[in-house]
Amino acid sequence: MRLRTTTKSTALVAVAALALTLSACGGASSAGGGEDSKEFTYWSMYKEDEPRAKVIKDAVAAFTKETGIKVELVFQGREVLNKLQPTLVGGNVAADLVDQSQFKIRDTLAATGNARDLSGVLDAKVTGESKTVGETVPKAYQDLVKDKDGQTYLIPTNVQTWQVFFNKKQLPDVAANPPKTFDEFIALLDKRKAAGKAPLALDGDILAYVDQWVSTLMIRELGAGNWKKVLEDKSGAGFDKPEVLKAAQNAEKIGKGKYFVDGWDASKFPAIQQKWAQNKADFLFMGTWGPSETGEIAGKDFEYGSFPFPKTAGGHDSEQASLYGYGIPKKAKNGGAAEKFIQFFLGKKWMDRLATEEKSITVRADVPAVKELQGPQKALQDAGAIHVSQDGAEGMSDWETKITQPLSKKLISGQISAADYVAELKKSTVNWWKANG
Amino acid sequence: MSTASAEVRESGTALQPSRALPDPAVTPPGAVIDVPVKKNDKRSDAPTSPLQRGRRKLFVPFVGPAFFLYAVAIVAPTLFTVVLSFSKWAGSGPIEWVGFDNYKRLWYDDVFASSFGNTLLILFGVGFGTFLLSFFFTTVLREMAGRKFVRAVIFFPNAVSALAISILWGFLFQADGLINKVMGALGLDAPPRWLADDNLFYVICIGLIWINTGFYTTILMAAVDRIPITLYEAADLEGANAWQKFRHVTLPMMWDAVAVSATLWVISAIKIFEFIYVFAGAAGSTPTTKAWTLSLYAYAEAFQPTGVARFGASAAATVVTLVLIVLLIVLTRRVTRRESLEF
Repeated sequence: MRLRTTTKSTALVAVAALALTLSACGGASSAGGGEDSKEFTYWSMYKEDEPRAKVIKDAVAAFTKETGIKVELVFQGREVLNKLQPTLVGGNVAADLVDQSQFKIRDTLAATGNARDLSGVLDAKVTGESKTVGETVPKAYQDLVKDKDGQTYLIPTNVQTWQVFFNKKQLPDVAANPPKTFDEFIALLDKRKAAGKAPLALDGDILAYVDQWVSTLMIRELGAGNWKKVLEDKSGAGFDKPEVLKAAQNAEKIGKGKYFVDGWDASKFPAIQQKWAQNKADFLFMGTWGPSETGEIAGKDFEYGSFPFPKTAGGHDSEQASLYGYGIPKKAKNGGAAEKFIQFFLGKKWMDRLATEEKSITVRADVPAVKELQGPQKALQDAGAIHVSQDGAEGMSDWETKITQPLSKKLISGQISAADYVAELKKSTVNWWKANG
Repeated sequence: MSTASAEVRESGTALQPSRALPDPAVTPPGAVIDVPVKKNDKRSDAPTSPLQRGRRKLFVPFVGPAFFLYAVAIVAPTLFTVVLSFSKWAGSGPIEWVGFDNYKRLWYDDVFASSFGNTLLILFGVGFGTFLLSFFFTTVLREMAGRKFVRAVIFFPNAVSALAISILWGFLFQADGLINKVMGALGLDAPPRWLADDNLFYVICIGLIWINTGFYTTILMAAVDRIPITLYEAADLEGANAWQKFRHVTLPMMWDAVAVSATLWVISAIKIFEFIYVFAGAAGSTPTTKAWTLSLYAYAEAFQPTGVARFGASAAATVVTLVLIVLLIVLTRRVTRRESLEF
């Protein structure tokens, strides 16, 4: 019967189509070595008009000239790993080398078993220099970029940290004598407020910036590595520690003090940091990208100064490091050639250019940062310990967006008390672990 | 409304009840009609004329390619999404099967509940506002001079990219924005904090009404334009006022367009994404969870600012959204079903 055959064949087509789609997700897996390749593909997180892109382009050209290895360079922008991800499934991974933040490379490559172990690069010499990559990149950073099996998934090139920024010309006293303790800091804020100034700036619509206040206070009170333990304790018992309440009370002081400039919680980024750059607020607790983001607005009369987030009663002085650098997919066909480029790019010449042109803090101690970032660079070198964002609690990303960030905002805007914050955070986190553990 | 077309087709075909006889109203003239055949009636199965035989031969070559594309591009991914919703998968690496865990998590997740609530608020609240305004404009514009120009002006927000609009709205509504400056100049001491977490979603709703009114006004106006003017003249002679003319002439005569618009609205309302994402979220970060809808929820599950992507959880949220769309469309079609008037 005509009708039935039609149905049958359409069903066949549907099944075939489905099979096709599903099989595309299986794919062969062959670990590529490609030690002697004469070419590789490099996908960058930068856009072509960024200062970093120019440095990369020049480095690639010089690398090809020196080694004869051709580089197919594509500036993919910040979504680079989201674009790479589908190609990790089959046998044809689209790029041999990617640059991104430590977390992005960890979550897309290392956590899914798709990262090439770069320990070998650490042992290799930086191109044209006597030291190895491992001797050039500080040990503290090397420890941060190892996965659970001890394999290195990232070779960092530059680092960002958080500092309290201000205008030296407006606040020469602070430049000469920055607050060392949290109490001194609060006293300073009170003084500025009494003088009719808005002491603090914060773009409240970026919840990660809001939460940075609270998590920094937690790590200051508990010490690096211990906030992570509190968060990863599924019973929630860690929240009962007195240090947690103490840190929350410090955050409450910020909230109840009403230090933030008017409109901070009802504006669109970057409105408030621009206000700060126009001297309408005194201090901005921000990543070291702050000066380049606000430079145009701040103008010539603004001299950037900064100090590390003050120590609290806990006495811990660790600094936060957000690392950026190179990762190689495990299945990359030309991974060997890509590794050679990493060795090349870590050379002093290129790191110097990153420092001056991109204004980044490079991982090399012998490359000074630009003037406004020499403080943060020194803070990182002097820090008693290094921690990463949210103290490195892993696999809790949706906990961050759904639980801690909204709560931190309530605390920092003075809507809830420290005790309520801790109780609510404990309850929600325990529930979160029940659903996600 | 660029996003609606594919799903319209999808839900249209999926929801077409299997009728014993094709509905003449929906079958275009000249279409081949496959009449179900009784088993014992062998003769009626055989084509009655050479023309019909030829047509039947062409059925597969004509429908086949389209069906294949449809199956590959829409049906297969949809099925794959359903399969994926029972797994834990980072987009690459091993797939771990977790049964109903993803759905269980949705059930316990307060943010999912509030996203669901926000979606319903858009669907019904914004939908009510949009259609009320659209009917209003339709009635007013019908007799207005310069209506084409006005129509273009109302349609304008729909033609501009949602991204551009949401950035513009950000500047208008922020604490030091134009709107508060104007309100301040008018003597208001404490203008509202539009973009504060608690108010943000309502501002989004107003924005959505503003964007969508033009689109639906245009569809409805096209239907109204076809109504013979004599009907209005007759109504005038009988002393009908504007409301009576709308209620007894305009509305019944454009009902088909209303039904289509309602269906389009249901589909697009549930999927609204970019306006909220750009307007409420800053610099590529996810907006406050208070402004999330189901589509934002699904996106945020898959593409988290940090952390391993969770395609399984995202797929589960998407499946729930799909079921919601299907249910609501069945409902909309039922509610708006009327006999179409021939004129």
